[in-house]
Amino acid sequence: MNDAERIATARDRLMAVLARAGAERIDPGILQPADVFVDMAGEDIRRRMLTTIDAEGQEKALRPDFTIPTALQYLSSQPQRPQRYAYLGPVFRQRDGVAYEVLQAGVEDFGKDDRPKVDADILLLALRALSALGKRQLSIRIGDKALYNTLLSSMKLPEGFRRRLTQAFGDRKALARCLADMANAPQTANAPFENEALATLSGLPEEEARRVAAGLVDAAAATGSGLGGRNPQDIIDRLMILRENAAADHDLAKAAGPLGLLLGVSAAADKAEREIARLAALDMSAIAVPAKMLNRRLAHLAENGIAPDHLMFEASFGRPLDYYTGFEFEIYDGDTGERLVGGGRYDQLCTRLGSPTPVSAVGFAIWLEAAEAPSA
Amino acid sequence: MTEALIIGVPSKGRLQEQTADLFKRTGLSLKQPGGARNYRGVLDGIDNVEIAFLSASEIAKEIAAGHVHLGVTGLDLIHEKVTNWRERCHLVTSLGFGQANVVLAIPKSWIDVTAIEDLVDVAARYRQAHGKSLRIATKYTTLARKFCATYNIADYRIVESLGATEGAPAAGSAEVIVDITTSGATLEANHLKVPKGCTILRSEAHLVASKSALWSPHAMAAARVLLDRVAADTHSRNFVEIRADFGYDPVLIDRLVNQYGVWDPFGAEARPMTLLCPLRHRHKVVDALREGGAQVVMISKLDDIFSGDNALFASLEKALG
Repeated sequence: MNDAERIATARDRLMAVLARAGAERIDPGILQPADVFVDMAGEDIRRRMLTTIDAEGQEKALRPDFTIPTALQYLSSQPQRPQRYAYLGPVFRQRDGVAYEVLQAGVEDFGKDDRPKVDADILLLALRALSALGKRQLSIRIGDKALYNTLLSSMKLPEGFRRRLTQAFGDRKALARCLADMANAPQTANAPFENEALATLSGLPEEEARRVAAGLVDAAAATGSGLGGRNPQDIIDRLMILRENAAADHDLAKAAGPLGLLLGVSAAADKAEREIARLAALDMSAIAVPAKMLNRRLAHLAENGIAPDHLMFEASFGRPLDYYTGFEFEIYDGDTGERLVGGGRYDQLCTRLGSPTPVSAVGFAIWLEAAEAPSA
Repeated sequence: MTEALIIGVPSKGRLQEQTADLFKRTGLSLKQPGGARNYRGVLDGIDNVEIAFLSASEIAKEIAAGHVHLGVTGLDLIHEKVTNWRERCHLVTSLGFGQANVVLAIPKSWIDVTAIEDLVDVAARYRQAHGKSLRIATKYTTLARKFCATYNIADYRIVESLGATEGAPAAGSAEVIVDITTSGATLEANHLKVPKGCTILRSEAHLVASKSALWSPHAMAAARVLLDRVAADTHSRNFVEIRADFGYDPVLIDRLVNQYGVWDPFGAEARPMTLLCPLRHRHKVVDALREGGAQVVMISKLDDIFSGDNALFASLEKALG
């Protein structure tokens, strides 16, 4: 059997595995409307997408992934019951000005409510899919965006840094920069005010501060061309948060070290929860909800032959797509370390695409050429 | 491409005037043989030079494409129009005019935003409060995207604006803008401000060379002459001559050279020669002096030169009998 035949047979096996798992094969168009991707993933995706304009001036994109096209197809199907789809085809991206095409195969699963169990099922399906392609020596890394966000909200942090840390999920460099800025930050209490409005509000009791803030915003809105695209309440709320941050005695420099350790937790999954609690000096209740989800995922995986100590949990591991909301994972070739599969949960995508009710959604994609490369 | 050196020169606006002044100062004249409507020209004073009159924006693109050897254009346009500009262009020199900043500006009424960190926060919260992402109106889409990526602003949309960008927030077509500003007066007039950290690029007119153009020996020779003249003009803009009544102190001079970039052209030993030279022949005289071994030759314009006689009056007297 030559290479092409070997690959074709392996792909047939792969799609059969996915079909047996209840996935309906779909093939959404290669040409998709560009604005949907930009709306979902932000303007930043333009650097990674290939776009073109049709004769009517409509901007189209070569699909950079299957997730959004599949979700659109699901939302347009009637009636909307739980549904699992499978796909195999090329996606198109660019990086540093170089355009490229990669083959992906994968699964998207919509509408099932038992989230931890479905998370585990999806990961197990990804492992079975890789096995059908002949890849069995694997290492698995998992993370959880919801757990990360819960960790952050359980800590006393100034809003600006909290926001930056939230954005830095999955971006090692941004996280390092943020922690470095925190370590170098002067103590916020008694720092001189660069913001005049803030200077006026500091020292006032809360009720009065809010009244004064409203007055300042009214005055600002009356000059020139108003507040543009923001509401008075946006600005008042933010001023109040800034006032609170300035007043609080945050010793950011001291917090940066332990915070870095906490967000850097990287441990076998069964130890991860204890490790986090130990470092954060938290009692488990602060992160109870996402921790419970994590444990149920791990329990279900263990029931199906994946022991928790085979999974590496990292507190700030995240995938580059913004619309993930919870469980995320990547699977690597155990010998070469090359990434073969990426996946995760994206419960907010369908709402953002216009669904009137929230739809739970989770899926994965296989980098097919990498997964088909002969094992060492 | 012909053997000539092709230079892209701005075809309209302040940049055109200031570029023409630059050439004039260096003793070269820009000539448009076919009249003002002709897009080609020549440079009077150097052989083998062709001038292409183009918009500053087109010049940036033509430099990148290798269709012109040199061009006068704004640094903002190089950054905006040329991907990987550092590999494809060589910045020969800044020209001392056309200074402007590319900035991100927001409504002055956003009194809670004083620095870029505040704006990152506002952008991150915007969708939750308003159901859509923050919009940035600009023609500098590349610069705007890079700036947002640097500060991890991910949730935003760019609204392409080809003119009157400053009016976009008031018109409701965008919340903030990225635009080029010289005095800040237009921003002020539109009730906009630039928060701390929101100056994206300090721009200036530059002479830029194309690394991908075909540089023939003729083109190189013409460039050598031109750049010599441009450098002389740049130096004269940036230096003044100082004469002082004190003995030559090498230690002090050394310190002034290192600390302030002072240029000590003649040193302790050489005796500088002073000549008066007709303006229009100055470059030929410079060449002759260099051939004779001179290295640094300074030309300064004087306010008045009184000669030993009064020739104008003498000829008047004679005419009046």
